[in-house]
Amino acid sequence: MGKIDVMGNRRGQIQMGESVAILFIFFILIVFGFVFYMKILGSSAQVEFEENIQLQAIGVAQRVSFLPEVQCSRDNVRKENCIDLLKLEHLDEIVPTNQLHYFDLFGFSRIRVQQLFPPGDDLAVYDNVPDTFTDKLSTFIPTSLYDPRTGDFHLGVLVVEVFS
Amino acid sequence: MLRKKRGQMEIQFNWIFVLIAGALILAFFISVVNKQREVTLIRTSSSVATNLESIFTGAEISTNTVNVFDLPQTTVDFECGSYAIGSVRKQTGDNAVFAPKRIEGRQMITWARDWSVPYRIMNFLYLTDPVIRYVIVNNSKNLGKKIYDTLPREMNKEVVSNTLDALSALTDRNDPHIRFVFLGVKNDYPLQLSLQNVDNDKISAIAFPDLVGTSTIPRFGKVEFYEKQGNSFGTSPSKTFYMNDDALYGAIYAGSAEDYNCAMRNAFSRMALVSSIYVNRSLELQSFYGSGGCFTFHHDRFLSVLETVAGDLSLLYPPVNDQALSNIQDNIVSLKNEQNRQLQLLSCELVY
Repeated sequence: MGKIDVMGNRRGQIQMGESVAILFIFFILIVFGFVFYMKILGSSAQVEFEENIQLQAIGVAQRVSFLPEVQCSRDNVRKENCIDLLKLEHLDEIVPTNQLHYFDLFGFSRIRVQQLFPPGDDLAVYDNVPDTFTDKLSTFIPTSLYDPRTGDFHLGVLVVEVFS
Repeated sequence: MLRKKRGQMEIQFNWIFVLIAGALILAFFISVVNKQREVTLIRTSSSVATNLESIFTGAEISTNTVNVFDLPQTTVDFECGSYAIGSVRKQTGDNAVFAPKRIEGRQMITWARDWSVPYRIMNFLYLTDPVIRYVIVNNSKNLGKKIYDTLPREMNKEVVSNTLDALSALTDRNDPHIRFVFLGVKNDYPLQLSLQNVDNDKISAIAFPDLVGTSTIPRFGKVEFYEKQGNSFGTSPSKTFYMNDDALYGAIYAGSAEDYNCAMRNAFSRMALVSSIYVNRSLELQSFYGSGGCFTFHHDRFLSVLETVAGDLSLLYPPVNDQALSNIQDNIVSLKNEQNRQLQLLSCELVY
């Protein structure tokens, strides 16, 4: 009688052990699957994040190229890829006092104009570099620089650096 | 007897064990699915928001362009300085965006127009839903036809005469929103019976009292925003002003007077900034020329007024009366004729 009892108990324990083992393996598989899925999700989120930064950089470059504060115009007819040097010289006076407005347009970025020919100084358009950043995307836009005093056009490049 | 009882307990225990384990597994999967659903919603909203941001950037730089964009089944809520797609809210910054309170169709129409007063300040961006119905109530000089032709053809728009018969013929087509545009004083005709039953927030009206009997759009004028109250429009509208036809179109698109005034404040704020650049530029050129005709016509008399008045309007719009707008318009004309044109005749560098 006692032997049968022990046998029955053991069989029950074995069955229980089997169930627990199956559940254990099942959960391990779920965890593996979940980790794998999260990894894929994470990498696609990273790709999306990088795409967003690139879009942001393009957006900033486009905005600054067509900014009325610096763009050349004659009788309100705009010249594309042209920066008025006189306008640019005065922009640095209004940017610091209207930081919030320009932050909406350019965010964390540094925008400057390099005069290549004839060689000249770099001119700052906007400078707001965060204390810490993980990524920096630079865009270089060849542009002509117009000096209204002399009527001369110089060759330059608009450097747009976006930080994230 | 005891063994039978133990067997029964064992079977019961097994069932309880299976039930708990099953419930745990089910709860786990349900929570994963729910979480995933939330994440997907946020991702869709944020992807639409990013796309909208790109659209806004494009519209900021290209002028006089109309685009129709497909949207996923989502609602975009606009308010002063921001828009929300689901739980994702984005700023429109200091842009002048004129949009209805809500866009919930599958498409969105964007229209960008250059705002030059008289030099380029910024682009006005107009957004709407192709299913929102615009009813232009014409004036005696058929100005409604001109406005109809200027508005994007993708819009759901119609021109009706300002008569009781014409207005009575309008029926409810289950439009998400109907905007009446009165070119003149708003009439006192009650709404057509089928429109009376439409929710108050689904019908609104805007009136331009100064457009009565004119064939062209005056340089500035009054705007009145009406809300539906029962079977007619309210008697105390929100009053504001438009300046140039660009702002008039803005009022047609804007969901409310507050949103319209907010966009106009942004526009004048930008105008003050751009004007200050032109003030400095003109004074710099004046000192460069030193003497002669080019020196004479480079000054900041008109530009300074534009800068100051625009700065004032950026803080307080709508103004109490149209004096400030009249002042701006007078200085625009003077700047054009007495400064820029004269400089052109003398082959000097222009002001703008």
